[in-house]
Amino acid sequence: MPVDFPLPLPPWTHKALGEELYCKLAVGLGYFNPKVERADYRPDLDPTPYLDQIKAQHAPKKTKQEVAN
Amino acid sequence: MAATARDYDANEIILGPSDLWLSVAVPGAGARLTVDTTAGVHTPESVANPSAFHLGMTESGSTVSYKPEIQNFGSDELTAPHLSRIISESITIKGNLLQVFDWPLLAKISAGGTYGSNTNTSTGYEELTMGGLSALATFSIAVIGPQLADPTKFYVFQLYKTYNKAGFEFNITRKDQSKTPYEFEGLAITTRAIGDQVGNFWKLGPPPGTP
Repeated sequence: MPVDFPLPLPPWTHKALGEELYCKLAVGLGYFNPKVERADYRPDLDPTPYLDQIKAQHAPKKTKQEVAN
Repeated sequence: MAATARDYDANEIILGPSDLWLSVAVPGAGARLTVDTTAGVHTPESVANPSAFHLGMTESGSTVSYKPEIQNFGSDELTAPHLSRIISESITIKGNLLQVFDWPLLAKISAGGTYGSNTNTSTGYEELTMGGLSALATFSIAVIGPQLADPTKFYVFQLYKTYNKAGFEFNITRKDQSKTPYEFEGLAITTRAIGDQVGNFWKLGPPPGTP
């Protein structure tokens, strides 16, 4: 994974992510660098290439009994 | 000696209609817009493009334009240029939209407009105030349409960062329906890879001849 933090659930909008996480994702995953753009250019980031990773990271953890079974 | 095959292929023609979408998502490096194909209709996939909205009907579709400005360099010794270089590129998507009675849309296409609304059921309103702004809001757009050879597949003309440089101008008359020109100009996102800074024009499906 190209970033060292868990990927958030969609939607990857600036409103949902907040400025800090939005910028980390946009730069870390190679979309673009928002910090060199005007502050009102914050398009949605398409999370589709990372949906499998997101699903895996956010899957409910198995209980001890489920693991034992 | 052998002949070279001619290429008369009607499936390589684009025939509309297509749809123009505003505020679509920007794809990552090496990726493309995510399109939903439910019921054979091609639209921006809503989880990937939660802010996308439709421009609505147009008078006669959209015109996609790419115009490079090329500088030739010559010499006194030669009659023809010996070197050429792209100096600038103008990439636009333009047309005439019909649904001017859509205030959020008017706000989006007016570079200096500000949308406002009040949701009160008896005194509510929508408004667009104008005048005094100098900042220019930009967003991503995409034209999506079905392929002629296989309508279950699609093509996409996307500009990552754009604004409508045509503003708006429409008649209010009993003789004709309202319409206003739009012309979205592509701007470069300087931190994307060279060659992929302005937009991506692509189609679903491998190149012809792929086994």
